[in-house]
Amino acid sequence: MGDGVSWASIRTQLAARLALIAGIGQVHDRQRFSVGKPGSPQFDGVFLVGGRLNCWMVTRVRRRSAPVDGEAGRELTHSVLILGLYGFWDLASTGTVFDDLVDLVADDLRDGDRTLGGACVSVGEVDAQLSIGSLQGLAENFHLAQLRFDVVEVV
Amino acid sequence: MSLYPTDKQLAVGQAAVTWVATLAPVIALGLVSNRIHPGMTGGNVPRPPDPVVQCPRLMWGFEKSSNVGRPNAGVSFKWGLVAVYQRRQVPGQAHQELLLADLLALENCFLGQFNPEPLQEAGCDFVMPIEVKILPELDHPTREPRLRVSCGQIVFGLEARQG
Repeated sequence: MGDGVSWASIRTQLAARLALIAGIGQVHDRQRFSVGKPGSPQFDGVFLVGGRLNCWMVTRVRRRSAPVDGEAGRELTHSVLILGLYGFWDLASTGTVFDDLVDLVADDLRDGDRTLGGACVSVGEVDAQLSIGSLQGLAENFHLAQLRFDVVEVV
Repeated sequence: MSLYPTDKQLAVGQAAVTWVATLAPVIALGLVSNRIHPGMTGGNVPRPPDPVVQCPRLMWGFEKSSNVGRPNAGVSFKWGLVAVYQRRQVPGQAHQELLLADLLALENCFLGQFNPEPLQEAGCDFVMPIEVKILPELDHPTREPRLRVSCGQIVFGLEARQG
């Protein structure tokens, strides 16, 4: 299997896993951008659910390849970044809702099938960073999660 | 495990690999791989990148060689043959006990017979397990517990005549 094919399979599997988690909104297997401004059908169709920002994107920030001692194959490590964006709405206590959502994602990746249906050898532990973001034209701030972990495969 | 083996050492090593593979206690280990491993150089013990697929396995390598002169008996040489055994851990199991049991099963194949016939035919005069050692367990880069590997080795001392 070529490297490009294997990463395609991994990101597809990751996106599919995310989509199964209760409360997760839009899920994309790549970073998305919209030329439309917030409120436009282009923007809202990509990032919003029920009128609120709730979007998760799977992307890869690093790719490392290493030979395997005495073997023909190579060990390929994909450093994955999942970006989670969630509209900030204080009255709805979105701070805790989002915290819980991040826990669900991290726990699912650790406790679920770590081979991603056989697409990789293993998914590593998740390092989650949480912060608040804002976007010009967007009426509300948003919670931002950056979930980083490695996915290792042998090719 | 840094020695580049002579033809005779290689032949004896290969004979040992082939012979143990036919023995019931070794067959019972369910080895995925049993071979002289090119990664066993300079004391290196290769980590299986995919322990689910690659374990349990037995990797053989060579170590230190020395000549022994005996009056009226020509020159012999002694060397070490190292068998590194790797076994994937299953969370909840008694890893060390299982590893040691497997290593002792392998060692027992050589005890009581100082020179198994296939090794004799390859030119070996004497073989004996001289050390059984538990090596540090190997963590997978993702630190997933089910991919942790128990590791141990048996060092065999061998002797053969020059030529």
